[in-house]
Amino acid sequence: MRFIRLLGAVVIFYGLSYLLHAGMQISSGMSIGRFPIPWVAIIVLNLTIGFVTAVVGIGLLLTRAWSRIAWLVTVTVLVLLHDLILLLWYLLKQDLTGQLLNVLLIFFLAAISWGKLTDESTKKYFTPT
Amino acid sequence: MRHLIQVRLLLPQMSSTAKDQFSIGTIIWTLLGLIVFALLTGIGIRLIPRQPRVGWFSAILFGTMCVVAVRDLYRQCGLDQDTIPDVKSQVSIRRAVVAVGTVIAAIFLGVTDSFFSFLFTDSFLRPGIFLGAFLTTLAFYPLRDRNERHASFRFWIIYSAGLGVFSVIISYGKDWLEDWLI
Repeated sequence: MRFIRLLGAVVIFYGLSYLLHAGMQISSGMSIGRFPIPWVAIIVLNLTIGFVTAVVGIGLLLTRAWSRIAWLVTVTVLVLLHDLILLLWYLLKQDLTGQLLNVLLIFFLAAISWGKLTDESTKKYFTPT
Repeated sequence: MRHLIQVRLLLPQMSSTAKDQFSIGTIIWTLLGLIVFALLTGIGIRLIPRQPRVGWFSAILFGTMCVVAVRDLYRQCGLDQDTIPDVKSQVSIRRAVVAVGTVIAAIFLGVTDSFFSFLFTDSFLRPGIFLGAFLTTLAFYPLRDRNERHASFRFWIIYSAGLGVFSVIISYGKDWLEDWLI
């Protein structure tokens, strides 16, 4: 039970960090006075990831059955998305450090989540709504 | 006298019992605190090359607070482990939406101060932010949870004014950070 709650807390923290990042991007866009279209797309993406992971994290904290599947799907999508961004960064010859750290973090989170949340001993804690 | 001693002996027990229950709200507040401390630690680290004393002090202080928050989070996640707590009694969607909505509005108005000032002919910067946050929070009054303890209009006025002040503090804090970091 502690593991599920800790995972929920980590997932909420992850979501909040995305929301904070999106907030900072909105703030800097407003201080400059313009929002180029790629920037808006990145802000919308960050807000979506932040909102979805925060909601799923709350579900994990409450051990809701839907949140287990939702998190496994979300974390897989996030791994693929970050891999894609890393590839894009590599092709654009940008600094890869930040993106590599992002990929490593989400990969470990995905490995731990898939390892533990698919286990029968963990599944029993999730209550159907 | 004996009664007073009994009350004093009981009080710590009561508070510890209440504190040691799993609460979703406490966990979320601890997480919000953790993200603020992490942000302040990051700002402190960035300040080290320019202002070593202030930078190191804030990095150590807020870094320690981050560690304390993580430790507290670990402790809270382990409470009531063997029983599935009655979370329905702790969760009120309406209350959560109103609280999150009002706080986000206050932060948003504080951070985007210059943008709104520009829209209103570059005047009324801080009073405008206060009024904006105050009125936005007040607009949430009809949406409040009527069964809640603090549902009176008087409380809501004080809460709105408090968030207005919070918004102004964020606006000043943002200017101060921009001066230091840029």
